[in-house]
Amino acid sequence: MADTMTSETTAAEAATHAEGHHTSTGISNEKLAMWVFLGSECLLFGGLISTYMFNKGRIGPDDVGPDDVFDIPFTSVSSFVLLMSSLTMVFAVSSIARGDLRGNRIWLATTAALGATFVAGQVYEFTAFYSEGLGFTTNLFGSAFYALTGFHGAHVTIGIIMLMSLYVMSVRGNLGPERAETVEIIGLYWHFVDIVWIVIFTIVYLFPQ
Amino acid sequence: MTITDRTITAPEETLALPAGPTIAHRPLGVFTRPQGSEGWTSWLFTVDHKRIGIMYGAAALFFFLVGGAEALFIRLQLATPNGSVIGAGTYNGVFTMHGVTMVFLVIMPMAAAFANYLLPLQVGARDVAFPRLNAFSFWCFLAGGLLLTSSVLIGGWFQNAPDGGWFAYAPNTGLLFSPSKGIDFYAVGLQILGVASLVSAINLIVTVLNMRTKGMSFFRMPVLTWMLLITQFLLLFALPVITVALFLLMFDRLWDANFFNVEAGADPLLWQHLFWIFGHPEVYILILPAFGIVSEIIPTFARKPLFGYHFMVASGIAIGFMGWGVWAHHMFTSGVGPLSVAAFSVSTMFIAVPTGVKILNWLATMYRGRLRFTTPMLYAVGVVSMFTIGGLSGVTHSIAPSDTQQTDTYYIVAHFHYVIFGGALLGLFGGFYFWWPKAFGYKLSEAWGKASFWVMLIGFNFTFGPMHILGLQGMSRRIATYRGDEGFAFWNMVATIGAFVIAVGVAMFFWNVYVSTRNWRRAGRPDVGPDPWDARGLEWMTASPVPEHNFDEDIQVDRLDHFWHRKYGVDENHRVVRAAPTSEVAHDGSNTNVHLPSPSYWPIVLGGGILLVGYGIIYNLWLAAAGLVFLVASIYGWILEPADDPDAAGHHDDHDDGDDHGDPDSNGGPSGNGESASAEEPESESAETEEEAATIG
Amino acid sequence: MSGRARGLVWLSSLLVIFGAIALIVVAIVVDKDHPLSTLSPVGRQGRDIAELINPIFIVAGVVFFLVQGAVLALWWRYRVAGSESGDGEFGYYDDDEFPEQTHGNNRLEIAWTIVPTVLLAVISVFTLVALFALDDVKASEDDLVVTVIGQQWWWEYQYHLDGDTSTPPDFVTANELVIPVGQDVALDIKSRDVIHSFWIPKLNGKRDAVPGRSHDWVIQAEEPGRFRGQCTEFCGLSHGYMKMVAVALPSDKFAQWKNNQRTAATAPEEGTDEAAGWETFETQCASCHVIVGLTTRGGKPDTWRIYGDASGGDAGGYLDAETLVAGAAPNLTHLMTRSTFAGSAFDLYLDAGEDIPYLNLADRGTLNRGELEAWIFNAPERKPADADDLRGMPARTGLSPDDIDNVVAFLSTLD
Repeated sequence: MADTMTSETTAAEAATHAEGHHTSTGISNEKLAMWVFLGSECLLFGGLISTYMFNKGRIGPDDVGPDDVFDIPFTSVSSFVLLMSSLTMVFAVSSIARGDLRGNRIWLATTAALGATFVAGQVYEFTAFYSEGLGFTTNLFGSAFYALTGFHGAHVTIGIIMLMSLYVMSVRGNLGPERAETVEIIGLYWHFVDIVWIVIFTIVYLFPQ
Repeated sequence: MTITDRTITAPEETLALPAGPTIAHRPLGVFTRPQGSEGWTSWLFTVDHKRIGIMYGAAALFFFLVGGAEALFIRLQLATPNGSVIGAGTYNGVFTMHGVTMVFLVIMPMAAAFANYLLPLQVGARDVAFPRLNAFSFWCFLAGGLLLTSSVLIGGWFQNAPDGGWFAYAPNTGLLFSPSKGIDFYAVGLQILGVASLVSAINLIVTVLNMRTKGMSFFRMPVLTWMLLITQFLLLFALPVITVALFLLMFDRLWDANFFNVEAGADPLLWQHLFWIFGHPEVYILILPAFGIVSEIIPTFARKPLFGYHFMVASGIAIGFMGWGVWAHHMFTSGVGPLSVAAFSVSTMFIAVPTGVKILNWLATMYRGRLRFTTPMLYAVGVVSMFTIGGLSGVTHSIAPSDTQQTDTYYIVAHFHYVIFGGALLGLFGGFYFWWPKAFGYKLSEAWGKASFWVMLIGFNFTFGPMHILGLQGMSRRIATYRGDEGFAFWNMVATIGAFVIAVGVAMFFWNVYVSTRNWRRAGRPDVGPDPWDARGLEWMTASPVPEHNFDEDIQVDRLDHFWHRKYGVDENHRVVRAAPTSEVAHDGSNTNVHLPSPSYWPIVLGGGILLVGYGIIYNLWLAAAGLVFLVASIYGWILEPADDPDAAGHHDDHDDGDDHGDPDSNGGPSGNGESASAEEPESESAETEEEAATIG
Repeated sequence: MSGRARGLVWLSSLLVIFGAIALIVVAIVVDKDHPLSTLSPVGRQGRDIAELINPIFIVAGVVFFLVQGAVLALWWRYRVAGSESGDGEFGYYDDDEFPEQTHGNNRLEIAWTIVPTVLLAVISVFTLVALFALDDVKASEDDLVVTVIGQQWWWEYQYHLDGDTSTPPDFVTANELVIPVGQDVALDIKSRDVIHSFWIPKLNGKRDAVPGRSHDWVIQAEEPGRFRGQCTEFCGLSHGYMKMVAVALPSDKFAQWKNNQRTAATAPEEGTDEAAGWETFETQCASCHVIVGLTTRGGKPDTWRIYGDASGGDAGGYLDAETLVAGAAPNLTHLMTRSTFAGSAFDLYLDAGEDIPYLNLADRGTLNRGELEAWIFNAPERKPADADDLRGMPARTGLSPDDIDNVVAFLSTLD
């Protein structure tokens, strides 16, 4: 099949080929694998969120708790930044589907930059919390909070690395329209990580009690 | 025969990925892909699902010997009151490692052996969806298994072995109460095994969902495929939960977190919930593959189709769902509150229903059949009989008030050995006998096989039958010894003798392998033929041992048990008559123009990197960091690996050699696949790998 | 296989299956008097459980015989002889005969889905009724409540005679739980370190002792007697040696025992072996073991105080590593009124039998001096312990035989 597809082949055609004929479900193996993997990830974050909710109230009256450290406006802004990165990710996917490689590169870089902004905000937040007396070992709230948000931050970081890898591939000319689906799959991951953050933000920050 | 009635669905393309132009060859100028399919290196770098399956099986049998030896030490220690064969400390390590080994390093990889070998064959595919990831799963599993097992030797005999039980209840596993490295080995080892199983689960799910051959709708899939698919879904959703639990444990031990620190206000029941939310589906992960195997064997040797196929599938699915709603029955005495106990008590009772449906369907399949008790059939019927005992004692546990008397006694030990040994292990051994000729081209000796079965079965019942009595008489689990005046001596001695009888039975199995192989070689390696048992699944439709490309041509499936229906038809009197000789229906494996994915260095390299990270986490975080760097570099190596090696020798050219197998009814043409140059396309599968690896790090 | 060999296989399989069943039945009937047996309950709760489960055992037994009988019957009825080698034209079969190709029967399937469902629904009703009845464990206000505290690897019992666990206990004892016959005794089960499980099989099922949690449980004995128990949640190195005993006494004897337990110990006469033993005890043992009336802490005499909680308030607080070594050891004030020591792993008296008359000191039998001396000299050798990690009794191998004789002489005064 590879040799039937010239470099001029549009991504739409590639998708038709990929989805129309190769698999029993019509979804490519890679995309299906990502969906299945994200299903598993739901349980990972489900476990972490449950652990957090189970433990957040288990602190003494004088311990550092959610109310003492959270800076809702700041985290709201960084959450907004992460949400915007989902939008730019959509642009990245649609641009490569159109064959707009330059646009694709711009949107990939923007998405990665927004994600990096979010992670930087998280690092700042962790430092601030730490200086306010909430360390990883301080109490159960601290352990559970850092574990949950840290796992999420690690996921975002991995997403950034993947986006940057795509960017480098694009620069080297290895990311043509025929690979639109690769971008789309990484986009799936990125959206998932964003959605998880909405849940975490709601549960951890907005309803701390 | 041409394939004009289809678009471009040549069989190879079940493997073909939506590839763009291949990445530039040798981008780094360092590695090409390994070549050749002979010699031991070909096993190290293989991406062939069949070889990987065989390696899973071999590794599982090796660990079976390790776990079995541990079991014998347990039985020696308990043979008499005040036993002093091994001390209490060693005993705790031995029983923990016995449990962990048998669950994670024996039953699960044995099931993985069948899943890897058979799933692609049973759905008519060339390989799994992601062959390199499949190889990675195996090496990752082996890394985890070796890391765990090495704990027995490192720093002295059982000095650093996990000793908190396979369930590792907090806070006993905290640094304060378990200061040795044992629990670290447990946590890291299980994490690594979890990564292996998760990658494998994703891979196999995609394989079954996506790579079924034409006409292979879901309800034409063999029951074994179904059960393995359900197992993979259970793994997919259960593993992240134990991953979370193990991370919490590791954070507590490594970095002083508070998750199980009661002084800081933690509730140790959190661990129990997380562990059993994983742990109970795990029970079905262990048993469902064996159910599938039994569902393949009994119809073959009853000469009847499986009774109630749809109900068998449905009951498997029901077990898969209900398995999530029963975890707290492991916690009836933990203090979870009467309402929870009541709910889980009732849900546990009703999970017996779909299991019972399976037993009755197997019996109905045997009813009015023509039963031939070959070795695989003996094992299968053994499962029906022995699993029933485990199932019935399981129902008695679900009665929560009475479980307060039974839990953590030998009654439970008896119960789950009837389920896991009498159910899962007997089933898997039956599978070994059944599919051995498919994988290796010769049968194991029936005489030795039957003798081995009976010795094992008798030993099994003498070992675990008395444990029902011991448990009801009040003998607790996990005690290193018991007093002489507690009345446990007699049945413990019986159980110990039984355990050594099992050992003899297992030795006979290995002797059988040796003798049968030797005899086969001496006889000039006679061909056993594609279908030595007159069986039903697609895997029997190709040569034995299965050629690297599985099937010579694409198979068009038109009904359940497609292969059997190709061999047999029904005459006007509704009598079964031979429609075609097997040799006409089955492929002979002679098609040589199938383009297969090249072997790869990276799966084993990544496995090694994971081993490095694992030991690093236990002993030195700098080593772990170095391992992580190595791992990330390997992942990029994996991604940048050329899809195919232009210099590779031994790769078949894509040309139509017109080898027609003369199957007039087949939609599939001769193996003409000229247009189907398919290369495994590495980039897009790397996305998952990267995340998996990150989960480890 | 020849007909003869086939017959042998049949015979042996039948023998195995029915032999095993017969053995189980015989074992259950004959071996009812095992000290830890769940099959011969003496307490009300244990009896309720047995009455719930026994009919279910019978139902399970019937299903067992039906299924195993079906397996054997199908085997016997439908087996066919065939090729032994499997090399023939028809593989392992010797002809091309096929049975009727039945694929299933929906009615049958539905039937055998519904029948067990209904059966289990009936069982679940009985289970739930029993479950909630057994869970109704609140004893009346001023009844005896015993706070049961597990720790590695022994049990402590804090007696609250007025049922009020918020005040310091009336007295504290270890490993042997003495209760009045015929009376529900409320237990408040806790742990100081890891999870343990309290279980006296003849009286009731088990209940876990989870650190940070407090679990209510009730036991009751319908007859006087001595009932063995065993910690049933794996609790580390010496889990197997963590046992306990419940002793049910008639109410008059219980009152006598209770009054004796509340008394403080008195110092031995100066100049005797016992006094020398007390001196050794004071330097070697008293930093952990309390003997009310004799031992002191911080210059103040020990009372029935609770370890890990100087205020004497809520009992069973979680101990950190330091307090584990500095306090959590069995209270020895009335050691000699117990029949076992070291987490009930060893008998304190020889020839005492199961019917040790608790208050009749003369009839206790001979003091198990050898075991007691060996224990004092090198405890970790007798019962595995991790004394280096502050768990279990450390060895006292520096003591001379005379020292140990004197300590035993002193301990013998602790009635």
